[in-house]
Amino acid sequence: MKKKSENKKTKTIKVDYLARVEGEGSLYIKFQDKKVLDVKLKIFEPPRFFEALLRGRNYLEAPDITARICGICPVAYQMSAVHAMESALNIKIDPMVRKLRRLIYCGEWIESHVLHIYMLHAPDFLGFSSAIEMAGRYPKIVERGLKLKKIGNKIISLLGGREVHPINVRVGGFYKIPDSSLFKSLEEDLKWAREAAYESVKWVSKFDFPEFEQNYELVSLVHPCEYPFNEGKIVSNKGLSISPKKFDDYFKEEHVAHSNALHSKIKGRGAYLVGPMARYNMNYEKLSDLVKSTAQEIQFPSTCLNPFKSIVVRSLEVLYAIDEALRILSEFEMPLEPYHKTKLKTSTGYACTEAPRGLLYHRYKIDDKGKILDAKIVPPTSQNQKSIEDDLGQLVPQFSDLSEEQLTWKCEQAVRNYDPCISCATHFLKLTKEEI
Amino acid sequence: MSSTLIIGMGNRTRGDDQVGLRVLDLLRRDLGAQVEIIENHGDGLDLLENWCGKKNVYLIDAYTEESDTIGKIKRWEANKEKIPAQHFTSSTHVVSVTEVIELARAMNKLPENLIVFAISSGNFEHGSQLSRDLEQAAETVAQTIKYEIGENRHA
Repeated sequence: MKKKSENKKTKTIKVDYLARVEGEGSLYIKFQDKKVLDVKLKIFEPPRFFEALLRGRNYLEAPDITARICGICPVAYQMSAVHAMESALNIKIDPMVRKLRRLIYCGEWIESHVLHIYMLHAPDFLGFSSAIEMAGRYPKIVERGLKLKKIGNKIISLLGGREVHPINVRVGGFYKIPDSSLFKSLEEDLKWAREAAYESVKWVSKFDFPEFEQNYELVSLVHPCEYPFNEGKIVSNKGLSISPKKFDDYFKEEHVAHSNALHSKIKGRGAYLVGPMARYNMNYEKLSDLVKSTAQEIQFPSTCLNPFKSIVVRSLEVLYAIDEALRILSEFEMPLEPYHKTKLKTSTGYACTEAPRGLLYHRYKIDDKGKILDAKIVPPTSQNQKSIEDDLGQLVPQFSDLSEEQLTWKCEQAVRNYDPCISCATHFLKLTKEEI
Repeated sequence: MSSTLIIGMGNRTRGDDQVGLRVLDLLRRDLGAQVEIIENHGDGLDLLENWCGKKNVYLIDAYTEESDTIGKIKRWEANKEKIPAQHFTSSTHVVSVTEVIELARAMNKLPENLIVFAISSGNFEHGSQLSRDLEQAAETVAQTIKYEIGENRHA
């Protein structure tokens, strides 16, 4: 339900239930003329206590337990979990296993980004209140999106054992590597997908985008040789360059009263932005030639600070993920063994990987029997919460001449720019019991 | 291949969310190869592909409605009528059942007969079992579907 209350001086925008985002949240903005007095992105999805759940479990269970944090990006949780455990135990994975991890991540980027582009975000730009309404007018386009998403799911299903909450990912590699003939069967689908993804880029590039830019501190992984999925340094466009081991030294999480999701900040600096726009800006040169030439074809620059254009960036990343998947398949050779066995020791491991929505940090402390003693997980959506609120604070004055209904829609669209995954953001809450 | 498909939606590790799958367990026992049976564990968008080419589809899922007693059963012929959206607002699936059905309707991809059974549920805690009321409801829905198929109600 949307309400507006108006006295002589102040107005409020209140959206009780945000539509077309994953999870449950609401929006509250109070403003006076062109001055924003208060912005709250309220996350009321219940906290889920996964970090507490992990304590006492075996280290091998971390990818399976954390995958349950999210049904749309389970692979991201599994990747951050296994890389963190491997960092704790000094495990070096087989080079082909490394490529297959990139492949399964390609699958997740494809299905997650396509779901967001076609079902959640494109309707905003075309004036539809829902994907259902859009499908009635453009059934073939929506069908293209559904088929693209399905191909992303197929990659995950092949390597992960199933589409939702894969079961084949483990510390050291995979429990089993599928037969090479099964990889071959993906190629035809991916060749169709590459054409479809190219058409998707051209389609979204024609949308009308409001003029809106912020001076973000963009944070993403940066790798010397590749567009980042699983590995790299944590780098920002304002001078940060650290290993994942140093994450806790530079980033902090805070609980705010209006949200069940923690807010993240860079210590001494403030809000920052993770996700496709950060990755694109920080790693443009590492995109494949096809993606760079497509970006040039649609006259999309190598830097983009307009969050409304993140839909174009996501489309380019879908094209990249498909191109990268085909490249990996062309180089496939069966690894000598599906996973490295581990030698346990008391240790702490750290990892960041690039979930579809951005940087995902895991840290685990384990004992010499492999029991998890402590865990910390920082998902991308909680890292972006402050930036979302800051965007809204700047957006409302710029568009305050719009009607109440149009301004409310613009604000909701601004939240959807970030493709927030609220289920991920509420995985953790410190509970303090106060007895009166 | 049978022209009748039965789809159960849900998650076996989340309490009452597994009720749709429980109905399938009961039907597999009695119907076997007479019909095609599919479990859908979370991606509602898969339904469009699942029922492509099928004439008669039964879909079973859990729903929530505060005013309904746990175990209450609702039935809709979704190809003829809209399902109230409020029953599936808090969906554990990527896209809710009502959204997928309306998407299919907009794209002219509904099966000729789509019968939706929804069972009022209350407990979705991770690791919990199916509640007793839902076990009974699952039995009732399974019996109803068997009867309808036996009567060729949608032939």
